[in-house]
Amino acid sequence: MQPAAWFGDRAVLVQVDSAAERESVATSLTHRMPEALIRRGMASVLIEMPAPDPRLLETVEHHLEEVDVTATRLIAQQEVHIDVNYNGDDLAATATFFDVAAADLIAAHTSQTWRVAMMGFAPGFGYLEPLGDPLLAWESLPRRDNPRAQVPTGSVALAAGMSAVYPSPSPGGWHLLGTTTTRLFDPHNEDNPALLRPGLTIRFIDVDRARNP
Amino acid sequence: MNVLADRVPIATVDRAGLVTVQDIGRMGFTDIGVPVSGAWHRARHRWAVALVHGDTEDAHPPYPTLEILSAGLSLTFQEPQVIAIVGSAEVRINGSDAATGVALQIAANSVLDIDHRGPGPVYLALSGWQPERTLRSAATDSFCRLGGLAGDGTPVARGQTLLGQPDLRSQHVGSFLRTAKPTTGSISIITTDEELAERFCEETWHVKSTARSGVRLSGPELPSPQSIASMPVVPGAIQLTPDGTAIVLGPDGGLTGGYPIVGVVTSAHLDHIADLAIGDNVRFAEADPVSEAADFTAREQRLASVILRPEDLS
Repeated sequence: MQPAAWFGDRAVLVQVDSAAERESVATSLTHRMPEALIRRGMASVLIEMPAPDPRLLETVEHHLEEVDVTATRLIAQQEVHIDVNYNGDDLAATATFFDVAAADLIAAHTSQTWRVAMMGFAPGFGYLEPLGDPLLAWESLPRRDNPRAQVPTGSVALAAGMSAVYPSPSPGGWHLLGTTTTRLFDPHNEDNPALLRPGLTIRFIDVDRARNP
Repeated sequence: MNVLADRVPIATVDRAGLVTVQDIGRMGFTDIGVPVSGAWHRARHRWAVALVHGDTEDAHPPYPTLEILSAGLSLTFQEPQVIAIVGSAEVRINGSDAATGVALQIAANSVLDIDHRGPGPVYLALSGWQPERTLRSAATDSFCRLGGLAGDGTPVARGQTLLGQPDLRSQHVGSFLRTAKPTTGSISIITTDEELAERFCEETWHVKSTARSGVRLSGPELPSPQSIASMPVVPGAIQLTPDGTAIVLGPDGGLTGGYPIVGVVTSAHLDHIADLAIGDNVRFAEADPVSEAADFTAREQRLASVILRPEDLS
């Protein structure tokens, strides 16, 4: 972990060295600083206040002293299951990239446990990182050379070591493996607009396999 | 919701340039990917609201304004209202010149014309307007397709109607809140990368384009930085892109970025970014976060003490 540093006059950024460290810091600060909004980056945690606070850096430093970053055991999180129809336009090409059959790619994607590393890009969009050993070399797959102008809602995608589901139609450069009818973002549900939250674990379920075991 | 069900048309849009519904934004959803959005020039928005509604701090839901970024706005009123326009604009009511920076009473069947002069956004507050809200805010966020009169993040368009209540209560907050003077001198930033920031602050930067997503600046080329792991960003963060452009992120600048960040504009100077126009030259200076935060808090307390609340008048 790098020392905490000001990020403007109402936020402090902590750069971390591992996903486990990021989760320890983010989870701990969320509990210790209920007045702050805690946002995760891939290798950072941002602690943001509603208004400038001259003592913010001191406060964060104080709380960080109490965080046990060596603790690799993570607080048990609810697991979210997302049903997927693996009919994506890039399924075959992605399987070829990994040098496996499409069925093997689907098996790896559904057998892998994923965790919401961070959210952003679009409302309800979670960047999912593999938890435990990657079942395929996910990190070796770059983004598409030509991003699509419009990726449909519910597209289940893969790129740069991560998976994701597009909660709304948007431009996108990830490889499309399939689609889900699960709703990821509902702006009219004020109490719980997003299905995903940072730290949650995700499993993808192949709807065809479930229907024809 | 019951209140919203009783709304009547209070004004109809006859003409709209680049105009959006804004308020203080969607607070509390950034961790699930919903940006705050909201008024770009916070002080002007707040003054317009204060002139019409009195105090603004504890408003739940937040008071809306119309943010005018270019051209102008014309409304025909179906119901009487108290309105206030804050920002650099020419205003006419039924063809006669009217003032900015004051609360004005406007009668039913009147026509309001606002011509944007600038620099920067102009705000119109209306006393009885009750827009629909998504995630507790009416703020228009075009990228996330949230808010606005249509509820889908699109800007205000001719033929649309503002719904609410006839309302002629004047809060008499006075006219002391005048349009801010345009920026002079340099813009204060809290640096996040000492080496880059030192070079950045030595240069004069030229405004290439301006939008709510961000203000793009060109200047002498700094050492071409590499992309970094996606990290959280905030309005006012200054990104350096590989082609040498610096982007000062605006309220619709997104929540994550993959470019190195030089620094973040101070809360006190964030409104100045909204007033930059294409062709302007701008310089930046390093500031101390602790004293900036303390000064900002003190200024907020002074401002709160000069805004009269309605209950202070009785």
